[in-house]
Amino acid sequence: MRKFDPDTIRNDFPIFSRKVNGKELVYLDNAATSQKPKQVINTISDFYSLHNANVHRGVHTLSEEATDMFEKARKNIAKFIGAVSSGEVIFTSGTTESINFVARIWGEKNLTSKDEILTLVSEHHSNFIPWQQVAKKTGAKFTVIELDKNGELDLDLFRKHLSKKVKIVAISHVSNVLGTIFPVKGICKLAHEVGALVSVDGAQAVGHIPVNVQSIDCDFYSFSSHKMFGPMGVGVLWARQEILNTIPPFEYGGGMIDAVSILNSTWAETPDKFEAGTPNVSGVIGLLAAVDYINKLSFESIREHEVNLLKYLSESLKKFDRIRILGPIDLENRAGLVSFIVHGAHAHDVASVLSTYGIAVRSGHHCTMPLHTSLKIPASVRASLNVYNTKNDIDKLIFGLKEALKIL
Amino acid sequence: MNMYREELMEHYKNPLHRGVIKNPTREVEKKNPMCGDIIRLQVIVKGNVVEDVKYNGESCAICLASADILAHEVIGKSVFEVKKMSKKDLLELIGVELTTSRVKCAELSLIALMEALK
Ligand SMILES: Cc1ncc(COP(=O)(O)O)c(C=O)c1O
Repeated sequence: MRKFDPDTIRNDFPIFSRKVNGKELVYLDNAATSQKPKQVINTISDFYSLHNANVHRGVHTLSEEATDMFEKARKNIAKFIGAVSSGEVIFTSGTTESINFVARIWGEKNLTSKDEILTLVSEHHSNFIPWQQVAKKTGAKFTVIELDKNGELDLDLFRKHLSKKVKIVAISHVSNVLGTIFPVKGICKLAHEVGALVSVDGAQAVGHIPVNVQSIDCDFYSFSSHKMFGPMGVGVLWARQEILNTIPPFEYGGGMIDAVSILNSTWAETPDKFEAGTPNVSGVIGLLAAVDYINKLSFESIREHEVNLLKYLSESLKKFDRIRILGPIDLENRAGLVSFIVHGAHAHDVASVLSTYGIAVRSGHHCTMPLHTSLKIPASVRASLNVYNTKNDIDKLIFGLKEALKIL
Repeated sequence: MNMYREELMEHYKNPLHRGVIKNPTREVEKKNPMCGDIIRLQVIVKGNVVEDVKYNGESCAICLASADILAHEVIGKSVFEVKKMSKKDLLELIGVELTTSRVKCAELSLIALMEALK
């Protein structure tokens, strides 16, 4: 393991060599998408320059190379998240598609009007609407649990909502607004006691905190490549093999069949059964390069770096009278992001002024309208961290905020 | 910092037309779902003339200042004339260069006004 040094790490990310509005880029919108290291960019470029061919389709050399790279990626990504086998890793276009898959294919098959779906008020629309809609379709009850004043889930309250009626708990591992790291392991244990399955939205967790699906003991786990240094347009749905064996295909087409006759078709085994059509091969190979990058840095040092910056960031923000921070006070329960509101100034205006200084933060409701409604705020500003961020970035953010508050 | 020019911020901080009309002829609420801006715009139309416009909302400075400038511009004009106003006209009135995402904030009041005058 090499020494963790954000300044060296920055050299891996070509984007930091450009200027934004004449300034050095301060990228604090990592929860929306991370920047890409040259290791990932080069892997994708090499694939198209040297190996490009369709997978699972040909016996010629290029096709075999592409297939080998694609399946090696599946194997190593499976290992990365602690899957039992690579057959449990299904490639999708991202977290959104993964969750829609679970809600539509598993949900529509298994839920009835006697059943209940449990979720949290803080869920991203991607982990909210699919369940809300499957509830409408199947007649299942859709129950949304509120959080406590620190944006954490009270496990006693959660326990009270559990009953034999609950068939699925849809929960995020890390909230994209509050930063809360939810106790998914404990949630799975409690849910399993009443026979419910748990689907975890890991979009904000993978690449920031250690994720092992066997140790969490969940049933579905979804995440996106682009939030963890990989390319856009690819993601993973992990599901237990036993569950995958019982659910029908999501889409029909090439590559997912066993045999096809005029009247009938039979399906391939998992994961092929769930991957109709030409997959995003370069994306998957790029995702493996991202996984290799994370492994090289190691989860422990990534988390340590982010917690250190998080402390500095929240201490710095606390000095502003006009700023209120949302989410957990205990930083051990918080991932590397902070959302806040500025009294008397709208989030967009704050973000716009920051942008003139080359500082990228997110503003708005961050695809969590139910949470913002529950908190009675129209919008918030979010600064989210990653391996290449430094204290200097935070100092620049604080400077930008002071300037913004002078104007707004 | 061009976007937050002083004249524009003046309309935001000391608005001329923000508020509520008791008995409006029409009233329209518009949202920008991408960012959560909301604007409620009310008009009084008498004999084909826009007699008064007021607006309110939980929105950013660009959205609110734009609504204030727009209201100021159209009060006293004929409905016919106001309806001819385009997005380009509004952006010229605002007179600062807006980025693509912020044009949507500025435009919200015009969309609401056009609907109110339908
Ligand atoms: C918690 C959470 N869930 C789901 C998503 C959706 O991810 P994607 O847009 O990559 O499908 C996001 C991304 O914004 C997120 O933060």
